[in-house]
Amino acid sequence: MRNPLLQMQNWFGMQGLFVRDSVVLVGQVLHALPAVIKWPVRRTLLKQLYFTGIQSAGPIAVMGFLAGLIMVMQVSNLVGRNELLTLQVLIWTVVRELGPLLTAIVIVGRSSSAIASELAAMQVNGEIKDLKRMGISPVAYLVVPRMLAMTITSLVLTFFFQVVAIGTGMIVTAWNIDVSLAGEVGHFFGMISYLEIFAAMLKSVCFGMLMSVVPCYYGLTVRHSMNEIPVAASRAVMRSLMTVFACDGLITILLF
Amino acid sequence: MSALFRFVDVRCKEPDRAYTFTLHAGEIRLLQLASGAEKNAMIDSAIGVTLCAEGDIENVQGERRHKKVAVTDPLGERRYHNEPLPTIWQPVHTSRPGRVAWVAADGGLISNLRIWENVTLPLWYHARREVVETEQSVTHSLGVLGLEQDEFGEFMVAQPDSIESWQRKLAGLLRALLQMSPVLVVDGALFDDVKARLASCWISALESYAAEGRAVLVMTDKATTLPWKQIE
Repeated sequence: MRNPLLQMQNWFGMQGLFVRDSVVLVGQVLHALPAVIKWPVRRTLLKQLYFTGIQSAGPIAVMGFLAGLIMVMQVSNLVGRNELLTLQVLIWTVVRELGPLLTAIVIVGRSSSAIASELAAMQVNGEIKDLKRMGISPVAYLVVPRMLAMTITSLVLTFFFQVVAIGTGMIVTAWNIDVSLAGEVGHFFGMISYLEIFAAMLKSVCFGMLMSVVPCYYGLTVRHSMNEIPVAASRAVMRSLMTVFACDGLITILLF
Repeated sequence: MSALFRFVDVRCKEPDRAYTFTLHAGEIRLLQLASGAEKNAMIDSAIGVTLCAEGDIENVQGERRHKKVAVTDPLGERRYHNEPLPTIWQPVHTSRPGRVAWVAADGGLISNLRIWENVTLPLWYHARREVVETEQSVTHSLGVLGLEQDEFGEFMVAQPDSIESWQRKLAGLLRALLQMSPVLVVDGALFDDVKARLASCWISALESYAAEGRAVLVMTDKATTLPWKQIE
């Protein structure tokens, strides 16, 4: 039987390597960022924006609608016909937390596993080496567009989710307790602070970077076996979610 | 004739075999290597993906591509799960990417790109080219490489997995020819299992390519009937 202390040491060592390698990868992506002016990189960026952004808009809209509806129904049950408190709870939950977090969960579910398995398959098939033989940097051609696309998409879709969720919440509140929708919109803009908007934007940008770096890392660390592809995809999803939640907690502690 | 590519006492995989030769503009030479592993290592060294175990490789205008230095990762000696680092962290040693083009035995295509995207990938990555100009070059080269004109359109929009082996090889050759690099490194296995008519077209295309002031180095690991002079 192996020594549990050694096992723990090995586990911490692996986590340390993961963090260090991910930070190095982010550094290399920032260094390779100018490559985005090259047409093949831009083409990959556009494809990723389409797959991650446009194709996720539908599920995000549905989730935003349902989240807004459920939130307002529950808050109304709790606080009664209190329009201002309902709005305040909507801002606290949707703008500060649920918007960035639920958007990230949808993107992780749709795109992180896809990125990890696509890159892992390329690695196994020797296509990453083929790129290097053509003098093309895999970081510039594969990782840069994915990270940019995920970050932009996360920011835009978070805003979209918040608009749909809060809009739904306002409409349901206006219909439920018979107040004017325009008045509610006015109250909303009076209540929301710049710090809350900044926190939501910061979270969505950080989540976008994490959700792309982690699957790229797992996809590219695959060796030569097909069996490693599903393992990489599964690890990418789990680790992306964990890092997103950890980052959310950190930003919340720092800002609020 | 100006020298384009120079190997000086280069050793890869086989410590007993060292290669010293110079490729001049207009030349096509055949380099027969001891094994598939040595061939792959030599191709990687010639292109600049890895460093050769020993020796110097210089390319265009005397620019040095390799020195007798140890292979070091930019991050130092790193290991992951007691394995070497993933290749993505290893540096590309090309001081001028795109100066040495490469043709893989199987075409070396990227599976999630269509043939047109594959063919233009290194060309548009390393340089800005007009679409019209590229289309004209592609059309001309496809004819030279022996593809029927009525197949051009369908071929260009196909996915690599949906075409035949010789078509993937043709796409890989086309991709390298379009780059118009001063030096072209070809895996000799490209000509394996290819119809004689096509092989003849491809040989002519490579000879025309070299005749325009470039050099072609064909590497093989077995006896071949290819018509070029072998490097001793």
